[in-house]
Amino acid sequence: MAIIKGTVKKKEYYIVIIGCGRLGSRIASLLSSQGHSVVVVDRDEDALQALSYEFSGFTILGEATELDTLKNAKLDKADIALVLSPDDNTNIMIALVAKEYFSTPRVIARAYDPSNLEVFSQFGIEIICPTLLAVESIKEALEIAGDES
Amino acid sequence: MPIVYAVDDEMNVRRLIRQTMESEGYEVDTFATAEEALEAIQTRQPDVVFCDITLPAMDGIEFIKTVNEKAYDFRIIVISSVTSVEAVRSAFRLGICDFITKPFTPQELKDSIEQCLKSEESLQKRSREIRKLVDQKKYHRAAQLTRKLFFDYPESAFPHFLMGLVEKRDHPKTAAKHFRAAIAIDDTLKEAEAELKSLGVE
Repeated sequence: MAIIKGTVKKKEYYIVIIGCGRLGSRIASLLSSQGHSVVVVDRDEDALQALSYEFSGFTILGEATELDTLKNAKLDKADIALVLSPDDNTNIMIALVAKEYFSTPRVIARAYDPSNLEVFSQFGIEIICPTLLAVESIKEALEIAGDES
Repeated sequence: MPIVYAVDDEMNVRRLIRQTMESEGYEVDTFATAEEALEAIQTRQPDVVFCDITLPAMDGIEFIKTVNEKAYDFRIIVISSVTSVEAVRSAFRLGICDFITKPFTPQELKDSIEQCLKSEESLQKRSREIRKLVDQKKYHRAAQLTRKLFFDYPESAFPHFLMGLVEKRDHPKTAAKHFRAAIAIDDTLKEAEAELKSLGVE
Protein backbone atom coordinates (compact mmCIF):
# COMPACT_ATOMS: atom_id res chain seq x y z
CA MET A 1 0.00 0.00 0.00
CA ALA A 2 1.24 3.48 -0.84
CA ILE A 3 2.28 5.40 2.23
CA ILE A 4 0.15 8.32 1.07
CA LYS A 5 -3.27 7.08 0.09
CA GLY A 6 -4.37 8.02 -3.38
CA THR A 7 -0.96 9.31 -4.48
CA VAL A 8 1.89 7.77 -6.43
CA LYS A 9 4.27 5.96 -4.13
CA LYS A 10 7.53 7.87 -3.72
CA LYS A 11 10.88 6.47 -2.77
CA GLU A 12 11.54 9.09 -0.13
CA TYR A 13 8.96 11.03 1.84
CA TYR A 14 9.41 14.26 3.71
CA ILE A 15 7.95 13.55 7.13
CA VAL A 16 7.54 15.98 10.00
CA ILE A 17 7.08 14.44 13.43
CA ILE A 18 5.66 16.63 16.18
CA GLY A 19 6.65 15.32 19.59
CA CYS A 20 9.83 13.46 20.42
CA GLY A 21 8.61 11.22 23.21
CA ARG A 22 8.94 7.44 23.30
CA LEU A 23 6.72 6.96 20.24
CA GLY A 24 7.95 9.97 18.24
CA SER A 25 11.63 9.16 18.70
CA ARG A 26 11.22 5.50 17.76
CA ILE A 27 9.18 6.30 14.67
CA ALA A 28 11.72 8.99 13.71
CA SER A 29 14.63 6.55 13.84
CA LEU A 30 12.69 3.89 11.97
CA LEU A 31 11.59 6.20 9.16
CA SER A 32 14.98 7.88 8.75
CA SER A 33 16.68 4.47 8.62
CA GLN A 34 14.28 3.61 5.79
CA GLY A 35 15.66 6.56 3.83
CA HIS A 36 12.90 9.11 4.40
CA SER A 37 13.64 12.76 5.19
CA VAL A 38 12.54 13.16 8.77
CA VAL A 39 12.24 16.33 10.83
CA VAL A 40 11.42 16.03 14.52
CA VAL A 41 9.97 18.98 16.41
CA ASP A 42 9.92 19.21 20.20
CA ARG A 43 10.19 21.94 22.81
CA ASP A 44 12.38 19.77 25.04
CA GLU A 45 16.05 19.83 24.05
CA ASP A 46 16.80 16.74 26.15
CA ALA A 47 14.17 14.77 24.23
CA LEU A 48 15.79 15.72 20.93
CA GLN A 49 19.26 14.91 22.26
CA ALA A 50 18.01 11.48 23.28
CA LEU A 51 17.24 10.47 19.68
CA SER A 52 19.06 7.30 18.81
CA TYR A 53 22.36 7.18 16.93
CA GLU A 54 20.54 5.69 13.92
CA PHE A 55 18.47 8.83 13.46
CA SER A 56 19.78 10.74 10.45
CA GLY A 57 17.19 13.49 10.11
CA PHE A 58 16.79 17.02 11.45
CA THR A 59 15.64 18.32 14.79
CA ILE A 60 13.83 21.58 15.43
CA LEU A 61 13.71 22.90 18.97
CA GLY A 62 10.53 24.89 19.51
CA GLU A 63 6.85 25.05 20.37
CA ALA A 64 4.92 23.21 17.69
CA THR A 65 1.87 25.29 18.54
CA GLU A 66 3.70 28.29 17.08
CA LEU A 67 3.41 28.82 13.37
CA ASP A 68 7.05 29.87 12.99
CA THR A 69 8.25 26.56 14.42
CA LEU A 70 6.16 24.64 11.90
CA LYS A 71 7.42 26.91 9.11
CA ASN A 72 11.01 26.22 10.20
CA ALA A 73 10.22 22.52 9.92
CA LYS A 74 9.02 23.24 6.36
CA LEU A 75 5.66 21.64 7.00
CA ASP A 76 4.49 23.16 3.71
CA LYS A 77 6.81 20.73 1.92
CA ALA A 78 5.91 17.69 4.00
CA ASP A 79 4.23 14.65 2.53
CA ILE A 80 3.23 13.44 5.97
CA ALA A 81 2.79 15.01 9.41
CA LEU A 82 2.77 12.75 12.46
CA VAL A 83 1.34 14.66 15.40
CA LEU A 84 2.38 12.77 18.51
CA SER A 85 2.44 15.20 21.42
CA PRO A 86 1.11 13.80 24.71
CA ASP A 87 -1.91 16.12 24.74
CA ASP A 88 -5.03 15.48 22.63
CA ASN A 89 -6.07 19.14 22.43
CA THR A 90 -2.60 20.20 21.30
CA ASN A 91 -2.65 17.43 18.73
CA ILE A 92 -6.03 18.51 17.39
CA MET A 93 -4.80 22.07 17.03
CA ILE A 94 -1.50 21.19 15.33
CA ALA A 95 -3.09 18.57 13.10
CA LEU A 96 -5.65 21.12 11.93
CA VAL A 97 -2.96 23.67 11.18
CA ALA A 98 -1.02 21.03 9.23
CA LYS A 99 -4.10 20.05 7.25
CA GLU A 100 -5.71 23.43 6.66
CA TYR A 101 -2.85 25.96 6.72
CA PHE A 102 0.04 23.93 5.34
CA SER A 103 -2.12 21.59 3.20
CA THR A 104 -0.07 18.57 4.28
CA PRO A 105 -1.39 15.67 2.18
CA ARG A 106 -1.47 13.16 5.02
CA VAL A 107 -1.85 14.02 8.69
CA ILE A 108 -1.85 11.33 11.36
CA ALA A 109 -2.40 12.30 14.97
CA ARG A 110 -2.44 10.47 18.25
CA ALA A 111 -5.56 10.78 20.41
CA TYR A 112 -5.66 9.16 23.82
CA ASP A 113 -9.33 9.87 24.44
CA PRO A 114 -11.60 7.90 22.06
CA SER A 115 -14.26 10.58 22.43
CA ASN A 116 -11.98 12.95 20.49
CA LEU A 117 -11.89 10.71 17.43
CA GLU A 118 -14.92 12.35 15.85
CA VAL A 119 -13.35 15.80 16.01
CA PHE A 120 -10.24 14.57 14.22
CA SER A 121 -12.09 12.62 11.56
CA GLN A 122 -14.33 15.62 10.74
CA PHE A 123 -11.23 17.31 9.35
CA GLY A 124 -9.85 14.32 7.49
CA ILE A 125 -7.16 13.65 10.04
CA GLU A 126 -6.22 10.04 10.60
CA ILE A 127 -6.05 8.95 14.21
CA ILE A 128 -4.01 6.51 16.19
CA CYS A 129 -5.77 5.90 19.49
CA PRO A 130 -3.59 3.94 21.97
CA THR A 131 -6.64 3.27 24.14
CA LEU A 132 -8.57 1.62 21.31
CA LEU A 133 -5.47 -0.22 20.13
CA ALA A 134 -4.99 -1.59 23.64
CA VAL A 135 -8.64 -2.60 23.81
CA GLU A 136 -8.28 -4.43 20.49
CA SER A 137 -5.09 -6.16 21.61
CA ILE A 138 -6.59 -7.24 24.91
CA LYS A 139 -9.71 -8.44 23.15
CA GLU A 140 -7.59 -10.43 20.69
CA ALA A 141 -5.47 -11.87 23.49
CA LEU A 142 -8.58 -12.97 25.38
CA GLU A 143 -10.05 -14.55 22.26
CA ILE A 144 -6.82 -16.49 21.71
CA ALA A 145 -6.88 -17.56 25.36
CA GLY A 146 -10.51 -18.61 24.88
CA ASP A 147 -9.64 -20.71 21.81
CA GLU A 148 -6.84 -22.45 23.62
CA SER A 149 -8.99 -23.45 26.62
CA MET B 1 34.18 10.11 -9.57
CA PRO B 2 33.66 13.65 -8.19
CA ILE B 3 34.86 14.21 -4.62
CA VAL B 4 32.51 15.84 -2.13
CA TYR B 5 33.42 17.27 1.28
CA ALA B 6 30.78 18.08 3.88
CA VAL B 7 31.54 20.45 6.76
CA ASP B 8 28.89 20.47 9.48
CA ASP B 9 29.08 20.15 13.24
CA GLU B 10 25.85 18.12 13.33
CA MET B 11 26.56 14.42 12.99
CA ASN B 12 23.08 13.73 11.60
CA VAL B 13 23.62 16.20 8.79
CA ARG B 14 27.06 14.82 7.95
CA ARG B 15 25.61 11.34 7.83
CA LEU B 16 22.67 12.42 5.67
CA ILE B 17 24.98 14.14 3.18
CA ARG B 18 27.27 11.11 3.10
CA GLN B 19 24.39 8.67 2.53
CA THR B 20 22.81 10.80 -0.18
CA MET B 21 25.99 11.61 -2.07
CA GLU B 22 27.45 8.09 -1.86
CA SER B 23 24.20 6.69 -3.21
CA GLU B 24 24.73 9.00 -6.22
CA GLY B 25 28.25 7.70 -6.78
CA TYR B 26 30.24 10.58 -5.26
CA GLU B 27 33.25 10.01 -3.05
CA VAL B 28 32.50 11.67 0.28
CA ASP B 29 34.54 12.91 3.25
CA THR B 30 32.93 14.68 6.17
CA PHE B 31 34.32 17.10 8.78
CA ALA B 32 32.91 18.53 11.98
CA THR B 33 34.99 21.73 11.79
CA ALA B 34 36.22 24.14 9.14
CA GLU B 35 39.79 23.68 10.34
CA GLU B 36 39.67 19.92 9.74
CA ALA B 37 38.25 20.51 6.26
CA LEU B 38 40.96 23.06 5.38
CA GLU B 39 43.63 20.60 6.45
CA ALA B 40 42.12 17.92 4.22
CA ILE B 41 41.78 20.36 1.30
CA GLN B 42 45.53 21.04 1.45
CA THR B 43 46.15 17.37 0.83
CA ARG B 44 43.37 16.66 -1.61
CA GLN B 45 41.01 19.10 -3.32
CA PRO B 46 37.36 18.18 -3.68
CA ASP B 47 35.04 19.12 -6.56
CA VAL B 48 32.29 20.41 -4.29
CA VAL B 49 32.09 21.33 -0.59
CA PHE B 50 28.84 21.41 1.38
CA CYS B 51 29.39 23.81 4.24
CA ASP B 52 27.33 24.98 7.21
CA ILE B 53 27.54 28.63 8.28
CA THR B 54 27.33 28.02 12.01
CA LEU B 55 30.41 26.04 12.96
CA PRO B 56 32.50 25.84 16.13
CA ALA B 57 35.63 28.09 16.07
CA MET B 58 36.00 29.18 12.43
CA ASP B 59 32.51 29.77 10.97
CA GLY B 60 31.36 28.97 7.44
CA ILE B 61 31.80 32.50 6.11
CA GLU B 62 35.41 32.62 7.36
CA PHE B 63 35.97 29.20 5.85
CA ILE B 64 34.75 30.38 2.43
CA LYS B 65 36.90 33.54 2.69
CA THR B 66 39.96 31.39 3.47
CA VAL B 67 39.20 29.11 0.54
CA ASN B 68 38.86 32.13 -1.77
CA GLU B 69 42.12 33.65 -0.52
CA LYS B 70 43.96 30.46 -1.36
CA ALA B 71 42.28 30.43 -4.81
CA TYR B 72 41.16 26.82 -4.57
CA ASP B 73 39.18 25.71 -7.56
CA PHE B 74 36.02 24.03 -6.28
CA ARG B 75 32.37 24.91 -5.79
CA ILE B 76 30.79 25.60 -2.40
CA ILE B 77 27.19 24.92 -1.49
CA VAL B 78 26.10 26.43 1.81
CA ILE B 79 23.71 24.43 3.96
CA SER B 80 22.36 26.33 6.90
CA SER B 81 19.48 26.92 9.25
CA VAL B 82 20.52 30.58 9.28
CA THR B 83 18.20 32.04 6.65
CA SER B 84 18.50 35.78 7.20
CA VAL B 85 18.79 37.86 4.06
CA GLU B 86 22.13 39.20 5.32
CA ALA B 87 23.58 35.69 5.75
CA VAL B 88 22.41 34.56 2.32
CA ARG B 89 23.69 37.76 0.67
CA SER B 90 27.10 37.61 2.29
CA ALA B 91 27.49 33.98 1.30
CA PHE B 92 26.57 34.67 -2.33
CA ARG B 93 28.90 37.69 -2.39
CA LEU B 94 31.70 35.24 -1.64
CA GLY B 95 30.85 33.34 -4.79
CA ILE B 96 29.06 30.30 -3.46
CA CYS B 97 27.18 28.15 -5.89
CA ASP B 98 23.95 27.53 -3.96
CA PHE B 99 22.33 28.05 -0.56
CA ILE B 100 20.20 25.26 0.89
CA THR B 101 18.20 25.79 4.05
CA LYS B 102 17.87 23.17 6.77
CA PRO B 103 15.95 20.94 7.00
CA PHE B 104 16.57 19.75 3.47
CA THR B 105 15.64 16.64 1.54
CA PRO B 106 18.11 14.31 -0.22
CA GLN B 107 16.54 15.40 -3.50
CA GLU B 108 17.43 19.04 -2.80
CA LEU B 109 21.06 18.01 -2.27
CA LYS B 110 21.13 16.00 -5.47
CA ASP B 111 19.53 18.79 -7.53
CA SER B 112 21.87 21.39 -6.09
CA ILE B 113 25.13 19.53 -6.73
CA GLU B 114 24.04 18.50 -10.21
CA GLN B 115 23.17 22.09 -11.05
CA CYS B 116 26.44 23.41 -9.59
CA LEU B 117 28.64 20.98 -11.47
CA LYS B 118 26.72 21.57 -14.69
CA SER B 119 26.74 25.34 -14.25
CA GLU B 120 30.45 25.46 -13.44
CA GLU B 121 31.31 23.40 -16.49
CA SER B 122 29.10 25.54 -18.67
CA LEU B 123 30.34 28.88 -17.27
CA GLN B 124 33.99 27.94 -17.73
CA LYS B 125 33.43 26.56 -21.20
CA ARG B 126 31.53 29.63 -22.37
CA SER B 127 34.07 31.98 -20.76
CA ARG B 128 36.90 30.25 -22.59
CA GLU B 129 35.02 30.61 -25.87
CA ILE B 130 34.46 34.35 -25.30
CA ARG B 131 38.11 34.94 -24.40
CA LYS B 132 39.13 33.16 -27.58
CA LEU B 133 36.88 35.50 -29.61
CA VAL B 134 38.41 38.53 -27.86
CA ASP B 135 41.89 37.24 -28.69
CA GLN B 136 40.79 36.88 -32.31
CA LYS B 137 39.43 40.48 -32.13
CA LYS B 138 35.89 39.27 -32.90
CA TYR B 139 34.49 41.80 -30.46
CA HIS B 140 30.91 41.94 -31.75
CA ARG B 141 30.35 38.20 -31.39
CA ALA B 142 32.16 38.19 -28.02
CA ALA B 143 29.85 40.96 -26.77
CA GLN B 144 26.78 39.03 -27.92
CA LEU B 145 27.85 35.89 -26.07
CA THR B 146 28.82 37.86 -22.95
CA ARG B 147 25.33 39.46 -22.82
CA LYS B 148 23.87 35.95 -22.81
CA LEU B 149 26.27 35.03 -20.02
CA PHE B 150 24.96 37.99 -17.96
CA PHE B 151 21.48 36.61 -18.37
CA ASP B 152 22.42 33.04 -17.35
CA TYR B 153 24.87 33.89 -14.54
CA PRO B 154 23.78 37.22 -13.07
CA GLU B 155 25.52 36.49 -9.76
CA SER B 156 28.88 35.69 -11.36
CA ALA B 157 31.78 38.12 -11.71
CA PHE B 158 32.85 36.55 -15.02
CA PRO B 159 30.35 38.27 -17.38
CA HIS B 160 31.53 41.67 -16.08
CA PHE B 161 35.17 40.69 -16.44
CA LEU B 162 34.63 39.41 -19.97
CA MET B 163 32.63 42.50 -20.96
CA GLY B 164 35.54 44.54 -19.65
CA LEU B 165 37.86 42.66 -22.01
CA VAL B 166 35.48 43.22 -24.90
CA GLU B 167 35.16 46.97 -24.22
CA LYS B 168 38.69 47.85 -23.17
CA ARG B 169 40.01 48.69 -26.64
CA ASP B 170 37.26 51.10 -27.77
CA HIS B 171 35.60 52.14 -24.50
CA PRO B 172 38.14 52.01 -21.67
CA LYS B 173 35.87 53.88 -19.23
CA THR B 174 33.06 51.37 -19.74
CA ALA B 175 35.59 48.57 -19.47
CA ALA B 176 36.81 50.00 -16.16
CA LYS B 177 33.24 50.00 -14.84
CA HIS B 178 32.87 46.32 -15.72
CA PHE B 179 36.18 45.39 -14.11
CA ARG B 180 35.16 47.27 -10.94
CA ALA B 181 31.81 45.46 -10.95
CA ALA B 182 33.60 42.12 -11.31
CA ILE B 183 35.88 42.96 -8.36
CA ALA B 184 32.87 44.06 -6.29
CA ILE B 185 31.24 40.68 -6.86
CA ASP B 186 34.42 38.67 -6.43
CA ASP B 187 37.32 40.52 -4.82
CA THR B 188 39.61 37.53 -5.41
CA LEU B 189 39.45 37.96 -9.19
CA LYS B 190 43.05 39.13 -9.57
CA GLU B 191 42.84 39.26 -13.37
CA ALA B 192 40.15 41.93 -13.17
CA GLU B 193 42.33 43.99 -10.83
CA ALA B 194 45.29 43.67 -13.19
CA GLU B 195 43.19 44.69 -16.20
CA LEU B 196 41.77 47.67 -14.33
CA LYS B 197 45.26 48.78 -13.36
CA SER B 198 46.50 48.41 -16.94
CA LEU B 199 43.70 50.68 -18.19
CA GLY B 200 44.97 53.52 -16.03
CA VAL B 201 41.45 54.99 -15.83
CA GLU B 202 40.58 57.02 -12.74
